[in-house]
Amino acid sequence: MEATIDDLTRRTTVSRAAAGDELAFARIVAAYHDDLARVAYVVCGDADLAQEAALAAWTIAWRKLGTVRDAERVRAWLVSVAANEAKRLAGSRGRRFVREVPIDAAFGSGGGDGGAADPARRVPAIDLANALTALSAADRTILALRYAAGLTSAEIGAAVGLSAPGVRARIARLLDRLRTELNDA
Amino acid sequence: MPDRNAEPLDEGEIRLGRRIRDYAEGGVVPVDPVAIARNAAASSRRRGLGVVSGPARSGLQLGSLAAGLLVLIAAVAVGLSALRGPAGQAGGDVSATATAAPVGECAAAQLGATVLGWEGDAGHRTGTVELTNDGSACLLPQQLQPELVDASGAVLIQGASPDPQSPTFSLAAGSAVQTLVDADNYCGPSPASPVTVGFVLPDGSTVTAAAAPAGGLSGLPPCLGRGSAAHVEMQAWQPSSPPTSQP
Repeated sequence: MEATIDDLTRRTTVSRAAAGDELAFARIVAAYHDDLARVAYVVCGDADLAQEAALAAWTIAWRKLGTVRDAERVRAWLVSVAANEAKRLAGSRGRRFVREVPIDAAFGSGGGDGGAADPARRVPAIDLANALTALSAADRTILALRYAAGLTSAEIGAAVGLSAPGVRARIARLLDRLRTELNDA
Repeated sequence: MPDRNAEPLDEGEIRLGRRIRDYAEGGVVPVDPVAIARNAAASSRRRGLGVVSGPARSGLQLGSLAAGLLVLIAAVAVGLSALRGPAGQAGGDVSATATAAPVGECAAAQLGATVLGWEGDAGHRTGTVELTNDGSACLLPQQLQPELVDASGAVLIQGASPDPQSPTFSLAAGSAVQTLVDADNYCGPSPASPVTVGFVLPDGSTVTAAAAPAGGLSGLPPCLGRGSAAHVEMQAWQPSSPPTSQP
């Protein structure tokens, strides 16, 4: 999973993948799957559901990759699709499952940094998870796209139907709320 | 590409952003990109054929549900009409008679199921399952909770519970319906062969299908990635096709 799409001549890879080249598509998956999983996890708060959302996003991407006109925007498009899938799955499962934050999964269980074994780092992560849970799925999506995927306000705006200044204002408000929830002055 | 709107407001935003980024790592697990690509391609192919999940299936379900209900209502009506004998009611009363007859939910004991065979591609296994009603007419939901089970009865993959509001249809005595059950990404320990399919009824009992005849493809789907969830899902029940028709 170390590949970067820059190394793979993005435009050619995307073009070939859109034409049905599974190997080219696999290169895109290798480059971006972790980004999709991160965004989905922030949106839905469940590692399994996040993976499910990412996989669903790839199925959509296989069918619709050709509709993305600019290869430079593929990553932003993909993470937006994953965020939507995570939102959809979390909504559809919400009636049957209580949203939980497993302690081991609350911090970096898949990140390989050993954070899950460190109680001093678990608690802030659980606090953050709880604070995120208190937000709407739409607000978590904006935060996920900004901080988990690093999208610009304009890219987020295109994904969620807001202007860039509108996104910026929403993020500022959400951060204020999170700071309050987390006692993070 | 710099974006002034995306610049952090202050140190607090930088700190909180980093915290969210660290938290997001909880969603990352090792995956096999090639398997994901194959799976995405295969899913799209199946969707194109109208065999598996998604909006295509929803449309198919609605169509098959409507057609199935019409056939079943007609069959029940004809049967009841015949039972009335030569002096029976006129045809105009048949539907009223049919709806007035109480029909209970299907019980596991009166149902028999068989996996007719498995097909597979790119990490999926799709089984054709026939369900027969060996008892009296009963009501069956269009969607049940499917399970992939091994020969010892151990559940390998459990499907999602159907919507409790899922439509129900009347399964006439002696009649049969079929469904397609799709499974993927089993990464657990080796199961006892052969693998088959079970269906959880609304009362919690399970109908386990007789395994497919030996010699064909196994119903055990290959592991696509341990980090990804396994799935098993079913299509809506449809009236069994005549042997010569398209499955």
